[in-house]
Amino acid sequence: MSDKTININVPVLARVEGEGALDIRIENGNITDLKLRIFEPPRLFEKFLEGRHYTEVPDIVTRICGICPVAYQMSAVYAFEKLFNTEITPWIDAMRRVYYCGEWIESHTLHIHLLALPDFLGFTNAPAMAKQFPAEVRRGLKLQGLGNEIIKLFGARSVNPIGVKVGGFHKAPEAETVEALVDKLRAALPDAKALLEWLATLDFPERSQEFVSVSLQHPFEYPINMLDTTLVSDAGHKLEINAYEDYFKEHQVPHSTALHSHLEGNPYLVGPLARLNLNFDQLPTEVKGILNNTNISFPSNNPYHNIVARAAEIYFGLLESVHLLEDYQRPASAAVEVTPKAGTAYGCTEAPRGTLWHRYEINDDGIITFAKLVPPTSQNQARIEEDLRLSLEALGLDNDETTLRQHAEQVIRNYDPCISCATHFLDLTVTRE
Amino acid sequence: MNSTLIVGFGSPYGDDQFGWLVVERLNIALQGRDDIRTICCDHSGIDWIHQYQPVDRLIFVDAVKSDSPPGTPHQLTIKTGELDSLPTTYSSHGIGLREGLALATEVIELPETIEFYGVALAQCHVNAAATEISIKQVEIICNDLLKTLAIRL
Repeated sequence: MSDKTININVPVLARVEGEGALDIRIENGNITDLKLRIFEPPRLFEKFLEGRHYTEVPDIVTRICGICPVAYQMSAVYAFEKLFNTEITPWIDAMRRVYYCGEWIESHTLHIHLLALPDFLGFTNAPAMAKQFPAEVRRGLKLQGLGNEIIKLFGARSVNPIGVKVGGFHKAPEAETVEALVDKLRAALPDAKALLEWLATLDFPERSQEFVSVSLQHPFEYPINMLDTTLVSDAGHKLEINAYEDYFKEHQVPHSTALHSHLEGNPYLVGPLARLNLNFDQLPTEVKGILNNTNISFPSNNPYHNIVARAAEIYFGLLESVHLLEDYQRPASAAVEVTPKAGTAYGCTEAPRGTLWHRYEINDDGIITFAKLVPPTSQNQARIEEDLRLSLEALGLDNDETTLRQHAEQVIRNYDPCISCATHFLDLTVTRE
Repeated sequence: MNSTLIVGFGSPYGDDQFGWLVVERLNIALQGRDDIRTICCDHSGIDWIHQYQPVDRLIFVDAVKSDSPPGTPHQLTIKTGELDSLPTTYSSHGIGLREGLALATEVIELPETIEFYGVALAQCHVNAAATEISIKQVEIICNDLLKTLAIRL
């Protein structure tokens, strides 16, 4: 064991969303300090929402993120509809599920092919990987494009879409447009299946870690939207959405402009692996069949299996979209009447990166007087730091700084952190003494 | 017959509509030209790759941020073989044209050169129309492009 002190500084972490840095101090062979620094200035969206009418919220929160705008819209509209006792039609709930599947497909394919997969295959970036795997990258881009098309179908555009309102959608897609898209989605099912089969057989490092998985759960469906869901953990929690703050506490840490979140004092995991760990039985037979034929058993406590969970959710998203759209009937109205009332609105849905919880205070005029949005990256930040410590120790702290740095970056990328959402990119500093 | 693809990048906001306005104007002038295809894309990263079929000539049109005064036209031609040398940063929130092109060189068949036409934007505010100076450049760049495509308005 080395008795020197090493400081590893990663001043710019590549292939993550936003800007951050990593500082690690190793003294006498032990990590004595580890900080995932997020220094991007706060974006103040919660304050922007104060004083705005509830009807403006879907078009404002869509601006929080270019990759997961649907999630922000969905957590908001379900929150208001619950407070207002608005009963949306089964058509609206089902089409919002398709809309959300589009975002999962788009976000997960981008993360796999442009950010995470080069790490697993030993490349420095996506173009380098594409030299050796052009067909696989083309397939990934094709799937990503289909995700965008689904979002555009309901949101009028794929980036910062604007088709959602409290009570439903502004407009229902034409049947002919849906029919044409369903044909393309159905034709892409073998691509999504092949992607999952490929990734599930990658040679993953053995990393068995103790962590708590948290996700929404629905009695009959794989969780996406809020209706009929509870917030569950594999530590036995089964919570109503409005009880979130009784168990989950956000706190400020000096090295981050994003808040850290703990579940009863401890780090926890949200996102694709947590969802799969808690809801495996709700996956379609086609997806479960592939996963059951691999060497991975779910629930899994190996964080590297996150990339497999993403691929599983891409295949699920396509299957679910085809299933919900193949008998599409255009309704007379794409929205129901909404009667606002004052009170506290709680919303929670499953963003691509994990559970996204909202709380709004609304007055008699329908004006937002307070807003709190808890994004998945904030919730995963403490878990990432915990994983980094465990993974680097498992790798061996005597490794050279380049190896430690590359491994640390892979660990972080594996969570697909959206630092932009949580408030942005990694700078690693390792200090050894 | 040589084939051409013109890609207009943009958004509905102010001068960022420039690429879309150029394509809209060209579509009127290019009716009946089966050898020329135009598309509009929401953002410049990789969306165009989904719609790409191999062509002899590839032209990108977009509003640009530059140190030049608003309305200043920018035009450059780059050899596809030199795209590897473009600096790139990868984040799914930040896939610009450079990153998209670096990826495209590996997964699709690009022509030997790629042409870029742009204009320095004045503003891209929500709900704002394109500025007059930008709209004037739409006409100028359309005329330049149509000359190179051997057709006149």
